[in-house]
Amino acid sequence: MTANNLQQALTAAGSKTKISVNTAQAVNISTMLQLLSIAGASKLFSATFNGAQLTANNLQQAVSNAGANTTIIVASAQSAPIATILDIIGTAG
Amino acid sequence: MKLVLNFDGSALTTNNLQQAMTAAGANTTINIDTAQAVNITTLLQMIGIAGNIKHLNATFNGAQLTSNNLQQTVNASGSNTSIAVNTAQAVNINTLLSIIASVGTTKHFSADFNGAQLTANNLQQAVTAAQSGTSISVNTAQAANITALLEAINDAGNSKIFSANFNGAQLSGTNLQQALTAAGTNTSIGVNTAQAVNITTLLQLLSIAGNTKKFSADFNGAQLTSNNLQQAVSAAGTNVSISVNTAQAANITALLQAIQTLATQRTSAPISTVHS
Repeated sequence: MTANNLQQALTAAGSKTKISVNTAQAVNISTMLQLLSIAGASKLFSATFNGAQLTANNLQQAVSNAGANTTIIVASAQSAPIATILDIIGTAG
Repeated sequence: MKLVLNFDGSALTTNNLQQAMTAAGANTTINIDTAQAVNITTLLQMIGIAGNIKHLNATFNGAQLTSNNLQQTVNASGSNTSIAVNTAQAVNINTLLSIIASVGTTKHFSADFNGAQLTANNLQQAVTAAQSGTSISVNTAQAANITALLEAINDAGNSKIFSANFNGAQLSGTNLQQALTAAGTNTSIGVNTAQAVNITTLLQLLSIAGNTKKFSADFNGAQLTSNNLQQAVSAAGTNVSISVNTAQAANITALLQAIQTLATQRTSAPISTVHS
């Protein structure tokens, strides 16, 4: 990612625009939480994490802060620790 | 929020998939890719846990089917489970027609054909047999015989769920325009690599689509030229979707213009961007 292009795009997005980010495990967690805050409950936003490359508890924090129109996707979920998977399912329902 | 967990069926370890499936609630969807590699006992167990409640999708490669795993999986699937087969042109046509018949109107099944590898009239037969539970799609549609493709689109008519996706850098003649002109109300026509499509052709396509036809165009944000993206968004009708991949490489001014154009239109098309 470059500068704050993603934040600008998400801020500008109206109800018919969907913004997605892949390789989300590489996004600074502060930036990710900022994006989830901008998305709030209304904007269409999705973030895809690679389950084989998770660090710290970034995925869990993202799921905990995701709004109603946000989708969190875990690719290669078979490679993620099962405790993490069960944790985020518990949060998401 | 929604949570989506993608498992690779060829790389499953211990019983992680079973544990996730058991724990999954209403906001969680579990996808199993490369489902042909999953032990059939495990797969049927997942279908059983999903029942008619949990959200489960399983995708098989039609060129790598073994025994009758695909049929068993479809037959056991509940009302929130969808089964898909890609490389559908490689599936024995009798097997495919039998599956489509058992899907009927209640189960959920989709089959994706490679337009460059169509044989006989398997695609047309699949579309003709499809009821409301089945959707048929064609990728690499720019390489499909246009007569076969138009037959499939006409077989789909206004009722069946059908889609065809073209590579905008490999268009020949007016095949894409012909497909879009023939498309009925439940047919979607898409073009990827849309930045490579001549802007005159793209505007013509958007005019054919109007406010009724389902049409989508995906641009590579790293290869945008002139203001084609902005022109496409401005001309897009109600059922048109414009998307940008590799959006992190797009000029931010162009991207914001596209998003803001959309925000000010009374009837506007969806736009989506993917950042990586």
